[in-house]
Amino acid sequence: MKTSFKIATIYALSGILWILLSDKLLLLIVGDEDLMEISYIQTLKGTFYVSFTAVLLFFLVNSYHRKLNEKIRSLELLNQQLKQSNSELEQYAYIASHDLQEPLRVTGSLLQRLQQKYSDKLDDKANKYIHLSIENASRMRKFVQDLLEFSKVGNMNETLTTVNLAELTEEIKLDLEKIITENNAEIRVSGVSVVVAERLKLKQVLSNLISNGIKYSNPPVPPVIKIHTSETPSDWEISVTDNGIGIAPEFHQRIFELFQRLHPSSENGGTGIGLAIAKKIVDKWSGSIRVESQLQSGSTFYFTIPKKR
Amino acid sequence: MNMRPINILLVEDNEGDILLTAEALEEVNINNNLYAVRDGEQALDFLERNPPFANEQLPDLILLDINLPRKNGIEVLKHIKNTRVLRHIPVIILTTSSSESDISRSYDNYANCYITKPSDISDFTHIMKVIEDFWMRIVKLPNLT
Repeated sequence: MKTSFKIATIYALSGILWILLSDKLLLLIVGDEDLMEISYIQTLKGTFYVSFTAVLLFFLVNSYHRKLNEKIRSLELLNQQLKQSNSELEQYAYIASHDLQEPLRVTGSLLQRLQQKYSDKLDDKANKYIHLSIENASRMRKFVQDLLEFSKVGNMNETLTTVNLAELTEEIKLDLEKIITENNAEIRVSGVSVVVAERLKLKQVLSNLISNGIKYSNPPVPPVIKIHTSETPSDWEISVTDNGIGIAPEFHQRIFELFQRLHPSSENGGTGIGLAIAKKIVDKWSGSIRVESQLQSGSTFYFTIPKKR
Repeated sequence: MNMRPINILLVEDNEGDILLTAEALEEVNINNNLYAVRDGEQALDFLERNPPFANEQLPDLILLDINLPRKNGIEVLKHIKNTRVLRHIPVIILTTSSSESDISRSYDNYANCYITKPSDISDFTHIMKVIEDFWMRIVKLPNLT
């Protein structure tokens, strides 16, 4: 309202001032009586024109301004909502990292104390109850931590860099050294050697796929994991092939969902977070992830990294 | 070497945790007096020697949780580090939280160190032993009484 009035007034005043001044100037130079008559009418006409357009301008700017204000208000509202949901998310992450874990940790620790101090006074059944309670308390903690980890994926901003896949695989091998030596696993890398990606995220995806390949191996056959990278004009595609137990086709979708597992918890230890995290990361960079596998004949996981982002 | 019992103030609201800490200290055979208070306000009353703590000695070491009723650990830490007669006392943040913001808020307010409590009981006992060894035997603290 104020701005449109100001703009219209400035326009009208400068127009009228120009008309009057230019008339005065003209008369000063020419100084003709007849001209004075004509210029008077011209002045009136000019003033009317300027006033009329000023009113139009006022309404035009006014309506434009109102629309702009509405847009700004709705954006402010949206911004506020985003801020709130963000702080709720932080709150939730905090609750997960502290409030949910504390009672679990204390419960687990007290049960361990019970086991340490009194196990020889209890019978086998009682000891088994204690043992299973400890195991479940620690499992619950693992779930809480993994859920936290899952919610953090994607909030981390990382820049794109060129990543040498052989080097990255060497790093992953160091991280997974324990299960690699335990299972006598072999890891091979082939194909395109360099991709452009968020290094840490790519590492997390590859590392999850490799460790799955080792975990779900087919003893006594030692696991062999083959990483192969190919490219099309638009994408890189990385495949991770293992010679493990394989996955029946009816589970090919479900394995990417959070906390979905195909094996009892004690056998392979995980909570079912690895593939869910891998999928979330790949989805974030607008790639795709899928598996090809048959029971008993190994699995190949494929994921893509778009070249243009 | 100073052989008088060391006074430890434990600020912790979870009774289970108080028991576990007391037992861990017992297990590592440290000659200590452990005082446990259950919230941040009590902790400040203890340190200011307000009633009912008028006859207590200042602690040699403070083990401070962050999530506490009434006044949280960070507020207690701020008070300690802003008070001339208290700020030399080592404050060890001992908490379940491993959140980045808790860690940085603690060090921003001059916590002496930050430890996330382990879930395994023998790890916990080991940590208590290391804390005592470090702060009570290795480190030299000013002798103000």
